[in-house]
Amino acid sequence: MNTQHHRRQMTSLIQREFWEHKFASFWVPIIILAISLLVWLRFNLGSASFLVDQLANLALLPAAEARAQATLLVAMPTLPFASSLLIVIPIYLLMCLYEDRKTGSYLFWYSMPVSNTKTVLSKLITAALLMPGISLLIYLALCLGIIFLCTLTLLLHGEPLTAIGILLASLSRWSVQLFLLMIYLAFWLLPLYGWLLLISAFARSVPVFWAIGLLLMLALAERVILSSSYFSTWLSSRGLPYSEIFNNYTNLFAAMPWYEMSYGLLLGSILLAGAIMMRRFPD
Amino acid sequence: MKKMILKSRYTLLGSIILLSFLIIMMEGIITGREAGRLDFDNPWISIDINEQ
Repeated sequence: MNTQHHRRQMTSLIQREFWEHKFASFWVPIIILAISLLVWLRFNLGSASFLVDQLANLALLPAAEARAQATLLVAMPTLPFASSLLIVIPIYLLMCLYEDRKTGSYLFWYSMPVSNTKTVLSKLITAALLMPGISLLIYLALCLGIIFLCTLTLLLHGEPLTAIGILLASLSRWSVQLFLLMIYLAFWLLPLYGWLLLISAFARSVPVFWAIGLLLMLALAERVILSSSYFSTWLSSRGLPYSEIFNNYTNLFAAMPWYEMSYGLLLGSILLAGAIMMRRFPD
Repeated sequence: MKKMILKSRYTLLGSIILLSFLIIMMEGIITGREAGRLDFDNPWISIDINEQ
């Protein structure tokens, strides 16, 4: 009963985040889907014979080569979705708690039986799982739509559908990889998420200035005062995820950088705890 | 101690930053992370800026 109550509360909070940031979490990937589809139609509908030739060639390639080429084809539309998430998620995390205070909506949530921990965690889950999850689903819809159009084109030209099978197999493999990467990044980037939430809860104005300025100041202070660069070295080491996860996703447990991961989780938890405690100071 | 940390938003932020910074420094010293150089290397991108 108690667990159910907590789960219901958390679900409501995440739903609230979705409705309040519907443009960033839903409409941005939908716009990307529409633009990608238009671009694809523009380049392929005009020259259907070229598309048919390409698909026929794919079916003639040796299995490994065909798989690699098909993976490249289905992976390409990932780029605009990933790029938009790189912009949308940091902005969301940096602004969410800040805007709660600026608009005064935190007063309403203070009057509700919802703890600061749940409020901050709901924002973290929205950024780390909900937004990438929605983008992933919309990306899948785009790929399936394009594969459906390819199928129609092949059928209209009376060609065999061998290439469609190869494309679908590559898409399913690539989707699993993206899903695992999404879960992995949720943990890998926890220090960054924690930092942005902490600054969002702290800043009275221009949170982006605080978020970047403080990091630069710390790195500079360490360099000048201590003549070392442990801080900037660590920061740069968290820049991109380990690509071993991508390549060895069938053996994820062995490929996981456990030490770096748990170290990041420790720091991320400290920063998140800071963000939760910071909520007690209203403007 | 707790009272001092939670005195204002600035003391709380300072404490959180100090704690995180100390952990990063200590971990860097213990594990010997490449201090004094920026070596960013992974299979996607590789940057190595060192004093020759």
